[in-house]
Amino acid sequence: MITVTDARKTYGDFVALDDVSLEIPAGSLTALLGPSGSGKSTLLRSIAGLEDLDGGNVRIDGEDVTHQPPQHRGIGFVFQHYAAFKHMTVRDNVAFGLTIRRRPKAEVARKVDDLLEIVGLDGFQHRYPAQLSGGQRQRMALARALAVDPQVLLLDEPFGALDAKVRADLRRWLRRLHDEVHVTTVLVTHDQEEALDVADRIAVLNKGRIEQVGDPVSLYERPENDFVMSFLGAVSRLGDRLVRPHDIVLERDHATAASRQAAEGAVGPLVAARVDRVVRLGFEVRIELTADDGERFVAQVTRAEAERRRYTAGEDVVAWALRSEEPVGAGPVA
Amino acid sequence: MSTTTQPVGAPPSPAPPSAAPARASSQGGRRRRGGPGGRALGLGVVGLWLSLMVLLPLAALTVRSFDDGLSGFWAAVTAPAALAALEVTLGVSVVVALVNAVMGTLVAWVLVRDEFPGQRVVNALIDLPFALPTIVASIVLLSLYGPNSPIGVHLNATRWGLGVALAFVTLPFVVRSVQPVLIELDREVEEAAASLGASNTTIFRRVVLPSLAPAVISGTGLAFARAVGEYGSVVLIGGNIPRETQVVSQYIQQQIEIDSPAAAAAVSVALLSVSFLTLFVLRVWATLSQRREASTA
Amino acid sequence: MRTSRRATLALRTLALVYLVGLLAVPIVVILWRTFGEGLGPFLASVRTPAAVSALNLSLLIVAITVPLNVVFGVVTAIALARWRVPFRGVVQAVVDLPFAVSPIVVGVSLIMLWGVGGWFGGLEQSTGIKVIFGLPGMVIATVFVTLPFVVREVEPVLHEIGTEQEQAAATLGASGWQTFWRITLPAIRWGLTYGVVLTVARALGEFGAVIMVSSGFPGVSQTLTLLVHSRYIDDHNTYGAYTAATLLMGLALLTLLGMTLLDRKRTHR
Repeated sequence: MITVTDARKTYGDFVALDDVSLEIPAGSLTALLGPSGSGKSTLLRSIAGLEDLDGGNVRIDGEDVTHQPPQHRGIGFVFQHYAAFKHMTVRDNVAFGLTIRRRPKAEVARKVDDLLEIVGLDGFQHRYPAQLSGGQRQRMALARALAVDPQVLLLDEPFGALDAKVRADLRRWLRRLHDEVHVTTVLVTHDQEEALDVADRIAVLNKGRIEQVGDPVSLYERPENDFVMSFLGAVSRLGDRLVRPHDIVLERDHATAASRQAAEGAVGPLVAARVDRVVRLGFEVRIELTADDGERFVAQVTRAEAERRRYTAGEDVVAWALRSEEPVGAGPVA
Repeated sequence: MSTTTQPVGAPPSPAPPSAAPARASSQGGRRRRGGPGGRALGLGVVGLWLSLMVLLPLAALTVRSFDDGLSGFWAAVTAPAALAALEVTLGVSVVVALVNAVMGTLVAWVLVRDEFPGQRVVNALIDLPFALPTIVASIVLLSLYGPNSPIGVHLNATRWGLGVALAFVTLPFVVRSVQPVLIELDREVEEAAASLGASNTTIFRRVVLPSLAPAVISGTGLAFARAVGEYGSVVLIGGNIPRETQVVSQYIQQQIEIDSPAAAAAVSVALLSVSFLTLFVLRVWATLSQRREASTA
Repeated sequence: MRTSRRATLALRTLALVYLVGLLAVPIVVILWRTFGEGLGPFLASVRTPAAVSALNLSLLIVAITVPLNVVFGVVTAIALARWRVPFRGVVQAVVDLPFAVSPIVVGVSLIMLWGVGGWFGGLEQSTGIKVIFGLPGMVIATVFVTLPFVVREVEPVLHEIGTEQEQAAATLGASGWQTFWRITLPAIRWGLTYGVVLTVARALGEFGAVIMVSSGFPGVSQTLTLLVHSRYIDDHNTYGAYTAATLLMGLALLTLLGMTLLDRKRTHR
């Protein structure tokens, strides 16, 4: 378990971490999610000992490591740009931590072979990093970090430099790896889809503070504020509330809308709007609307629903949302 | 990238958290990474090294140039022979720097834009003056332009001889500073100018030259700074004739030989000032033009 | 800009004539003068006791200068690239200073500091170590003129490789020393080698600074460059000066070759 208490870090006037406290349960795969400059990387690097905190402390499995150098924290760290040792072969890269510890040669060889098999790089032992693709380099970096049996595995935007396809493959692969290895893992990302896909816990950061921590479903379904709501998926503003576009229901008239809303047990405003455009995006259909008060918003319906209702541009409708909690705070969303 | 999707296999678990942790003993020491002690030591070593090797000798030079007081310094620097040597040095250096500004740019142009057999050899040849000991440069030039010249050109002990020697040792500066800029130059701009009807002369003057100018000027400045302090390459071919071909460095050496170290130090300080001023002006000018470029970008 | 065939040829000819007249022909002439009488006289001329001693002294100075510059140059480069250095700009300028100082001025400065009556002149009286007009002076002069090379070649490489590899090594448990030997040093090795080659070339070829602080006795305190000078000026042995210069030139050409090869290696990695 990693416990961060009142972590504070400033760079001149810029507050990177504003008294952040966070608990990361043992064996979890936690994502630190936030826009750039939110402090998520600083938090991760502070856990690793690559940044020195100005205040607060970090504990790993109960031990205060705040003033420990990274060498002594029992961590594995994976960098966004791989940080591959360019002058070493794949094998020597992975073996590095073990060689440093002067482990017996046979043990090193066996362990490296095992790890290379796990990350799917067996057969690449004698290549140099320059001869690998980005995805392969990152898997090598992962094997290298795992080789020293870290208590925690820290990944700093590990897939950020890869293209979309490789990225999706690799994060699913990471999820499976974690399910087998169960090492406490912290992953920094600015990509909400990646966080929702791979993590079992997500901490959303903004401006050096933690906005909300929870499992992916509760964060998505029950965001505590505007920021979390809008950062974890698409949002539309309906009256005084932010709602998910796929929760919006469009009816032909006010009475139908009111009765269906009551039947569903939903609360919230009924908004009269005009359909501007209907866009078919494969399985989903996106409907762009303008509300009476001039606010533009988007609703998302399934293809089947769209076929049934036959929305057309220029049509007047009344919109309501299946799920809307308390009115969200005023002000424009980020 | 098919391997990314392959299943994780049934591994011997690489990192059960319960297994012996990698963490070394950690008795709460307040050791910082890298160790501030090590860095302080390193910084101390660097400071001491640079002071002992570079700063102290130059400080001693400067202080001792005033051994005979301010008036002594002034008298040494304004002695007729000293002034003459300064004049010869600056005059020849300016001419040589300008010649190499033109010829160096031309050579860089030919190396980048032209193609001919043996080009790579020529390109490697440019660095020769940097690699060749200056005294060898002197001998080499003497063998061709000296007393036994096989082509009957006698430049020995003339300002022409000085000029050739200085041109030789400063040749690479302009070439090597212009070449990379020329390679990076966006040729589409020239093509655009040509498509608008500009002649080659106009294109070169209005489009190419303004982009090359900073590199040409910086290379020329470096060549000039090198030329004013040069000694080895002119010592044999120059002739060391006072008021005719004696350069400042030769004058300084002469002062040491006739045992007037204060005068030698004073003229050394004057010579240093010329070099520093040149390099300082170049640095300021480069910073300014960079800023100008950044603000218009 | 497309130049006409005639203009291209004219420019090419002009550039080549300049290079040939300034660089190529003099070299050919000296080679012809050196080897014109065959290999035997050349070998005899560079094998005289004075010549052998000069070569040995030059190599000895190189052998002392290079390790000094490697150790202190690498520390300086690491300090400038990685540490918080007070007055960084000033330190950078001091490192570059030797490039801007005339070799003769280097010599005068060292005499002012180490010579009789200099700031450290007492050292000679108290310890008997002769700095000026002795080997230490020649070494110090050579170190002065070659000091920037290693720093200037290594520092940009350190910036370019960044700190990520070093941080990765730290997270894997490597100590500062282990990181330096296993990660940093291999990463800067080509830059360092290039700096060393430049240092060797300059150390072998330095003349002005060394002649000021050397007693210049043949067979004792003459380096190869001083030998060329004294054979021409003092002995009026023009042929001997040519042969010694050719020997130096051979060493310089080897260096140039090394530079070209290394440069390719450096940029291709």
